[in-house]
Amino acid sequence: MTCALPSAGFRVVSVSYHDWDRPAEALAHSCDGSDLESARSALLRQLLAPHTPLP
Amino acid sequence: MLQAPERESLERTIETLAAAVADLPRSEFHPELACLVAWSAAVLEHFPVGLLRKVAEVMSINCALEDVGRRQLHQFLLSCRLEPRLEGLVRTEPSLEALLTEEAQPCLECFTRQSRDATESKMQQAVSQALRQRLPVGSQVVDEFVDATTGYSIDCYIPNAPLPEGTAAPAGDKGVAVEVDGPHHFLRNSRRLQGRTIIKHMHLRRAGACHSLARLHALLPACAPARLVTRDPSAS
Repeated sequence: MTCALPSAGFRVVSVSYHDWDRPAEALAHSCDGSDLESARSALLRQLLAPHTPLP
Repeated sequence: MLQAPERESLERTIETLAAAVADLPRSEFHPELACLVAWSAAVLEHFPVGLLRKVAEVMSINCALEDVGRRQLHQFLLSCRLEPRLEGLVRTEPSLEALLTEEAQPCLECFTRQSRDATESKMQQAVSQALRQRLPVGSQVVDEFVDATTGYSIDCYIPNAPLPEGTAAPAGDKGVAVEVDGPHHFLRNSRRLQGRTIIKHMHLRRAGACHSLARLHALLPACAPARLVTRDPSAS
């Protein structure tokens, strides 16, 4: 017996502590790597794009 | 993610285990061990037919489990529901189908009880706060959001539209589930995730993304269609 399982519909993203705590290494390509807050913003923007626009 | 040589090695281990238990009297294959074996196969997404059959047979005789075993069995059964390769097998294996029918709901309830007790790590709190600060006004971030279908507690959930506390998100809510993986989610001195995190990510991605694949959902009458509920603060 089979049937289609209704889609939960959500998207899953994961934030690794490697990226969260060491943005200078992990995010050098997307920010200057020197500012923790801007690096974390870049990380979240990258994770959530394009479905959830960030200011 | 496992490297190919590691995966091959672990799959061989599962195969060896399957061969070892194939002729084992069911009375000597303890149900707690059967659950652990089934969980390991689910993490690796490697399911030798003989092993699954043996596990189901063992559980059909003795399914008296501690909560740990019941939670492992839940994750294995969840793979049975979400893994397309297992669908045909479950249909042709009465013992596995019976296990799914009889144990899925109590195992889900056991798993969900633990999810409701989940606590937030400092990193999780920081990510949640950062999301709140950066998302557009009116956005909602729900911490420890319990997915009613899988029983998992999602670290931070951003619903498509704000939800009243304790209410269910509509099926198909196109929100974003954010999983926060601190150091204890990884193997020591490694960027490799632990098995329990691998399987959680896998299940959530499949539960969130499945649209048209035929499933065994009809075998689970007590399970509601995929939906999400916010954490009820009054729940134990």
